[in-house]
Amino acid sequence: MNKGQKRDWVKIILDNFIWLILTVLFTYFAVNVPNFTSKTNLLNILLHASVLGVLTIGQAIVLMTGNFDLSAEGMVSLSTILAMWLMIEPGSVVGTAQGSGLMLNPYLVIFIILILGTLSGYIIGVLITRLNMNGFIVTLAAQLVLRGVAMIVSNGQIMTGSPKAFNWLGGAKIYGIPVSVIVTLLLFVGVNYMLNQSKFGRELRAVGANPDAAQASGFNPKRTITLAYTIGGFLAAFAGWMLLGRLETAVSSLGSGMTLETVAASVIGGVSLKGGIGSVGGAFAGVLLLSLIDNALNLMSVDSFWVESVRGFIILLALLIEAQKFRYKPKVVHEKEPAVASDCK
Amino acid sequence: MKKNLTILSVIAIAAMLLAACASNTAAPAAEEAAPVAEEAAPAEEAAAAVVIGYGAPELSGAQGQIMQGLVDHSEAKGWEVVTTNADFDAEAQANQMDDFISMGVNAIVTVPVDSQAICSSVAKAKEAGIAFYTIDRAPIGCAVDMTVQSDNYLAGKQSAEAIVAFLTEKYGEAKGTVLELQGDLGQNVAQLRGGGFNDYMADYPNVEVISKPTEWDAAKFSSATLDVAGSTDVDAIYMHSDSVGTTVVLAALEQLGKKFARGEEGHVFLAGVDGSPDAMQAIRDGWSDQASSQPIPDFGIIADWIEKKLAGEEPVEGEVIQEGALWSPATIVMTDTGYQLNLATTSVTPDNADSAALWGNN
Amino acid sequence: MKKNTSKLLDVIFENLIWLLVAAGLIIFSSLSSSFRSPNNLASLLYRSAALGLLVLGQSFTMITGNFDLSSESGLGLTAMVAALALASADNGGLGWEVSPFVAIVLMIGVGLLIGLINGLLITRLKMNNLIVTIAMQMILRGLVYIISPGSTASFFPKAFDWLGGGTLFKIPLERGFFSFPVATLFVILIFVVSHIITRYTQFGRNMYAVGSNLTAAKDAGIDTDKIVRIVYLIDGLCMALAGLLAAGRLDSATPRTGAGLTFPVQAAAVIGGISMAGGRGNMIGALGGLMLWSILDNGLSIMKVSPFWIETSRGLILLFAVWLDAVKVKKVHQRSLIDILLQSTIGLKDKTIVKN
Repeated sequence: MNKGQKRDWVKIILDNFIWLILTVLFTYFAVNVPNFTSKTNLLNILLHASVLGVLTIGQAIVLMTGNFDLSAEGMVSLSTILAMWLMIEPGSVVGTAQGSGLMLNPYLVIFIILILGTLSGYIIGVLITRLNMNGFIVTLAAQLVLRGVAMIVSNGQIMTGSPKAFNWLGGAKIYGIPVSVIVTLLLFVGVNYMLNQSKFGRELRAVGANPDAAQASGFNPKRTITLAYTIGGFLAAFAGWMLLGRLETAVSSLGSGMTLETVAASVIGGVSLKGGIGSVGGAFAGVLLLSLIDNALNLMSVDSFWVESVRGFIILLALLIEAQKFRYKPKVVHEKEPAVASDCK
Repeated sequence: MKKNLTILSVIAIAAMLLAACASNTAAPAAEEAAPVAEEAAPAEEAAAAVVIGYGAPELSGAQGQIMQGLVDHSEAKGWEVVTTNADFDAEAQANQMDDFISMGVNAIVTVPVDSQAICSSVAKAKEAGIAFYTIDRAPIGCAVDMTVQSDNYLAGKQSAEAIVAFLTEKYGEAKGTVLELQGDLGQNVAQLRGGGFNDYMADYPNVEVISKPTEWDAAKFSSATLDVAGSTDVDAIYMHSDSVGTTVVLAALEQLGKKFARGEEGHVFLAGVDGSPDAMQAIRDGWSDQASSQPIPDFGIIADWIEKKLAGEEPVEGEVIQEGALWSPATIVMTDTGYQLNLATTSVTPDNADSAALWGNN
Repeated sequence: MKKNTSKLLDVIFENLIWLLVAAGLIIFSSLSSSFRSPNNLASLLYRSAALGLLVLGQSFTMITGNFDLSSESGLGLTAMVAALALASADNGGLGWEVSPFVAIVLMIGVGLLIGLINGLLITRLKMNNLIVTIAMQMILRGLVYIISPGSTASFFPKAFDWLGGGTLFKIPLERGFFSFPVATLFVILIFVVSHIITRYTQFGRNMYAVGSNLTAAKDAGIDTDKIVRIVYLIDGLCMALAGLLAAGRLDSATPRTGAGLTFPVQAAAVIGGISMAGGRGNMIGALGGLMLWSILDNGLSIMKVSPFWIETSRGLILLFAVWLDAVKVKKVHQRSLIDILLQSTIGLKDKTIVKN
């Protein structure tokens, strides 16, 4: 086997390493954990993966442009709280949720929160591209503001009792399979196809790899990045809709910690933090991996304290592999301005 | 350049002013659950005005009610109450305690976020000569003037009793599988609720208890229920908090197709501690079966003991009886963490779920 | 004449943070008598001392163009390690009851180890520091849970608590005492010392060089990897000191100690003028950022503003700070462009750098 062939072979394995890990873990759990492969449990795994999955699609898209989105979890919190607030009555018992009493039509409310998410993503995108503000900090600040507003609106209360029409996405089933699972799978397939086949997908990757070269080629990096954040905002609100439907409960702490998970899932799935590389399909594998582990740990009698460490180790492992990948591929050319860097990478 | 700078400074200073003004107008709007005392004059200026500093660990569900109960009892005595919310952060609570001490309040009442970490604040309050009281949780490792709490151990036991009764009826003997959704095990509240439950269950070795930690997080309640009830046949579920858990657990059961009403085949017996409005409604509707209701608003009676202390009186050990009160009989015991006033909990079942005396029904 | 005024304005502009700190102090003092009480003012840095040390460590790494999101967990781990070693078995410890000196040495050792690992992962294995430090944050926090008894470990010897919770001196007032906390002085001193190190030593200059332009620094012969590793070691040391301050103040360590501090750390550093791009900002400015953060927290809380509003306002202030940073970047960029234009005979220098 000459060097070229060996490289190809290794490359294929590394590219799809995540699926390999997934298969190995799945088999291990199937053998050692009782009831792991029952239909209900497999559906549970996919159910866990659905909300995280939707958020990860958004994060992956933003990552591919070479930026970060820390604000998505804030939008999950705000969209769920706002939706509840618009739909339920003020509670009569002190210390329970005070809805607005507006009792808006659930469909209208869905529309409202999706618009809210889109708008928020758009504003963030504009702040980052037009005003040249650092993406990391802008989305961090946005998260504080979004969650803060959620806390104000809910006054720290737990709000329960969302109407059935609203819960459909998160709670209903078609032929025994949860709607959220179907929708998430469709989204992944659809977005993956779009990114691989469409001009937008090429634009996304080009901008992530080298914004100036992309500009020279006729793309508009500012518009692309703004669009990426807008999509991210929309998906975050969508995920909120899904989550609320499943829990039928909203509290401002919903979504905490999901940012880390979405970034981790994307990275495990091969999305590069430098931008320009990766696919949504890989991110999906990352999401499945994290959900698999969570589910297995719930079924085994393991201290939930170990989950954190296990997750951390897996991420490090995935990163190591990502770093190794670059030895076998030509490096993507990244530009950095000499005197000043306006983005953190 | 000069223009930009001036504009920036003006904006910055304006923002500060706005924030400060917003506090005065927003505070009443934002804190609808608790009346906000006006900027209290230092206690030494108005000799008669008693000011109590209250530190809440969070404000949802039962905690909001606890705060309201204390405020009601205090205001009935003509006192002012300043309230804060630490939102689960022990350091934030320590900061708030420091603020109360700077303000020179007459007494501090708090529900500790962390029962051990609160001790450094207790020591400082003592140095400043301010009386210190805790509600709902006793401190660990230091002594306060008094603690009022429900008997969390009793609450866990009450739920266990109800579950064993159900299992015995279902199978003819005490056997089956129970899912225990635990709260944050770092707090003694969850430790006691779990302790009372599991100690009772220890007498029935044929009952299998699966315990999952949830740290009071709604999403974790959901996924634990989905995973465990989805892979095993669970006869009963015991929630450390039915404020957080009732709706979420029922939604999860519905997802699994395992939500059946009381009396139907396959009904999963639901029990929990708190006695929240959601739980009361669920019991009435037939989905849930038992709640160990805490006498939440009555924690405020600690104001009576604060009054005595300010007048120089010390509490006396023994029973406290008040006819007709749900929290009665309560007991006062002296422990190494100070006096403890333990209020009785009420086991709510479908028979007495309509009682107006329960906080979840008001 | 015009040049002098614009130079003066530059100075003010660069130190805008202190203008804001002063404004904050004046405004809150005039609005609240509790705020302006001597004990409260002295406590501003005391309350945020642990946060301050993390900000310090973060400033070091940010100046070199890196950052560290694991510091909150490092704080938690070092605090828990010390707590376990110090506390009696009844109070949640291991029962070893070592002397405070030993405990502190242990903490510093753990902190340096964490810093070493972070530095190696980033320089040797060339892993992206955002994800590495996020992973470390999760791993370290997991470790805290694993080693802890699940609940708090508390009640340490007074000597251990001295730095975080001790009083330097007390002055009797007409009612009560004015106590000046040790932590306040410690924070000020350590920031000043760090400022001196970064501004006036060769090492400090190297740090800034690495942050502004990695390739140019390398070309100039600086061992950039070594500088980065040292900086992460310093960061690890800061984590241990922060743990000492936190544990000393509450006289206990819980599994959640330090959790949630990551974002305030970033925010305070950025507000204090440390640029995320690297190469700009100074330690005194970072101290200013810390002070402003603490003033807002304390002032708004004393004014009984709901903590929910405080959260939101923090986000807005952060947005303002990063906008300011972007404006500065533009200014510097314009300046450097002009300089280059003036120097070059050909025109704009080629900006593209190709790595292989």
